[in-house]
Amino acid sequence: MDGRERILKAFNSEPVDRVPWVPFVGVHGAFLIGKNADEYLQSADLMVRGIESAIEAYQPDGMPVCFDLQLEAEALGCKLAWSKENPPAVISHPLAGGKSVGILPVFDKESGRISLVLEAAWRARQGSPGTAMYGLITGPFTLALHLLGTDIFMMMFENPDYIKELLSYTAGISKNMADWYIEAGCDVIAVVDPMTSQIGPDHFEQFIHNPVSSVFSHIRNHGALSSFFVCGHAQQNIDVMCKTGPDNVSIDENIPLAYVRDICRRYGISFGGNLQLTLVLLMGSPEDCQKHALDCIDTAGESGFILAPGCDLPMKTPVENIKSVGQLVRDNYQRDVVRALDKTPDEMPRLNLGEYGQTDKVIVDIITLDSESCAPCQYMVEAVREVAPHFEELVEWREHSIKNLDGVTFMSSLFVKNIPTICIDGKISFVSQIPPKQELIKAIQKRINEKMKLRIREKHGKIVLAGSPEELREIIEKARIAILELGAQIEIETITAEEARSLYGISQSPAWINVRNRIKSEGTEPAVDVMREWIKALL
Amino acid sequence: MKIPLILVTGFLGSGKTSLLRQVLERLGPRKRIAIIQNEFAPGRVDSAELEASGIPFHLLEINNGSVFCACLLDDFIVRLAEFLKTYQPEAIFLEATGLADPVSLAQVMQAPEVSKYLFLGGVWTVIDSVNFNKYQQYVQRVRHQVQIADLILFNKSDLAAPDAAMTEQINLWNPTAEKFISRNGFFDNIEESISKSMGVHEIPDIAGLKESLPRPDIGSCVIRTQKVYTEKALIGFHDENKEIIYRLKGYVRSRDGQALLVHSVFGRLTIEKAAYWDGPTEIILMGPGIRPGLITKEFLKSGENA
Repeated sequence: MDGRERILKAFNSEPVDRVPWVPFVGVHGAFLIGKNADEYLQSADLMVRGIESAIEAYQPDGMPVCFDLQLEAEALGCKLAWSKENPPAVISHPLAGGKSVGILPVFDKESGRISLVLEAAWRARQGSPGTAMYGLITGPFTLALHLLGTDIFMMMFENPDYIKELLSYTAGISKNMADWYIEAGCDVIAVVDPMTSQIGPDHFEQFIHNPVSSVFSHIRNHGALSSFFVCGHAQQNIDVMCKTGPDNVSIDENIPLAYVRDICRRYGISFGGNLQLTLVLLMGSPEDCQKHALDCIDTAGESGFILAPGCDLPMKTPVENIKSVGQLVRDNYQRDVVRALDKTPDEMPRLNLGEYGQTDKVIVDIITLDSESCAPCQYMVEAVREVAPHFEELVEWREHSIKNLDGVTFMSSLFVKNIPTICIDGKISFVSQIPPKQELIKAIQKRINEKMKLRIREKHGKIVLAGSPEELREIIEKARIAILELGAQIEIETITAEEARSLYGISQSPAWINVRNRIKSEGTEPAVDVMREWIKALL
Repeated sequence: MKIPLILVTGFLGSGKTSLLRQVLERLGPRKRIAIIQNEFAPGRVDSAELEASGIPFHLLEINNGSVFCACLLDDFIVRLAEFLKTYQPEAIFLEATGLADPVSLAQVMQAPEVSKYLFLGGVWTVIDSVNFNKYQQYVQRVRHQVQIADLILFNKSDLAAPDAAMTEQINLWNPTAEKFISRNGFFDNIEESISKSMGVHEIPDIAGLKESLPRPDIGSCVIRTQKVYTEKALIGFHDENKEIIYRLKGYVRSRDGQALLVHSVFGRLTIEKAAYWDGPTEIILMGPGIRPGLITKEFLKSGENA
């Protein structure tokens, strides 16, 4: 089942092999290809590149073509202020004060940036046949607000007929856009109408129901699926939104997913949402994102549900965060890992792992969910088990299952984030992927060689002889003979007794000082608790 | 020391600019004040009017592409951090424009880059006493702004005194907020309210030296979650953390679909049914040593999936 099939089935509440996942990549696409939001949203080429990059990085089931709720408004004469990191903002309202819609320009495919967005849709469709393409259109109420400005709220009260006429006009614009997106190959037409969250159900029914229902009927009659996107505090409207007849309702973090689930199921329509954008996807860690995504899936259930953020991803959302959500969705076992880790306390004690890498043996640790029940963990353990005898007594290996508290403690002490992971002498070496036998042998051998080198170099030391030249003359001669007899390569350094006093704390001369190099680490910055152990050895 | 951020909300034309002018007149001569507002939003605070007052302040505009979505603010975090370092304001007033979600804005302030500099000192909501009855029927955001406030001003009292129906409605939506009648943004308790939101009230009043005494470093946190809570879980969370929570306020969803109004000041917790809350669980915490990441984790652990 490819992503497109999965989305289509989920929209129809048919069984799917897993929950489909749609990251709403809008200006985040610009970030992925190193461009600014303003140039991105004004170039079909850049949008196509952004969509392709997002599909490659995130392997989503569906992808919006363009997330810009100012597109139609601009084509109808609203002035825009462009931003490098956000979609543009509407800064003028051609119908302000209640002017007639008759003054608005003709709306066609050549208006504003519409042709380039449609071109991007067509090219993205051709380039990614296995991904469901979403054509996003500005909902009738939000478009009306762009055209009229915030006078709309007072005019709903004072001149309801005018507002109804305006909404009928903007619904017509939505139908045009839907037709064009469908022609370009989009599978889903999402009517994005966040401003409806500002009104209550009575006024929704009075003003919004008819125009929006007509848009959804139109989309259905033209063979595409529809979604009603709304963000903000719109809980009061979910029921009336369902009554407008979309195939899907998609919401953000302001509305409890369980609430939407129950209402949508009652109406037999699918639903989507509601990953938190700011605190989790933008500011959280990959682990936070996975945990939150799992909560959403657990709440929503796997039928008739599409996992998605509540809105357009912030431009600089960390790529690793979005990837981690996809990984969780595609990988059942990753869900088990997240569940297992969720049961552990937040503040784990950390082990002192100062001894790692210090013993003669090489220690191989495998951090697993549980090798008996988790296939990737089992294969990783088997790989180590098979390789270890090649090194006879030199290699010792252990499995640490995170189903036990000890395992989790060990995991956090080694700063391991993914399961399964192989650590060699406390260093993360293989993450998630089962290494081929030769690669594992090579990695262990490399570590053995490093230790050998360290030990050889440790043998190098020097003799410091402290005293006056007269005092030292005979001692130096005898020391040279002794070194020669042992066949050692050790240098002799002489210093005056005065220097020796301050450097080595000797009280009488002549004095003999053995200096031995103990290399504790190379090319890494050891942790403070490790340093502490090394320092103790000198006390 | 962290500086207070006061969120000023209110629907279009309610009198936010007049209020800020009153605040500037009182605070401006002795503190460095910053005002943050949305660059393109209609009905925003009129910076020209404030500048005309002659009282110095620093202005930072949120260049957000959308008047209705506060989620696209990642570039703003960087700009704000830079702004705080450059101007080192001693108090910030963030104007949440008429249609924006103020809680989303407050959440953005929890980004590590800026939360180390500031805490949420208070949420002030200005009500247009003349037009409230009309707007509140149409615009859901008006209710949300009232519900999350800890100070509510019935402004334009010279044009229309708040009637009984309006007062009753506001009290139903938010029984715990302090409420004052104001005219052109001025109200009798303005000095005390400013001090309170600046965190000055958190230290003992010794011979009127409040403002010169060191203030414990206050942190704040806004949590919005889909989790549901039992009263027992809330009491447990509160008791565990009451040493570090000076104030807690918000709405919490329970498993049976009801909403609870949770309110705590210096360890005195009250929980009651909230008849008019239809959003998710949403709480604001303030107190010494509050670290948003840790307290959020603890609060989420106390809840259950819906």
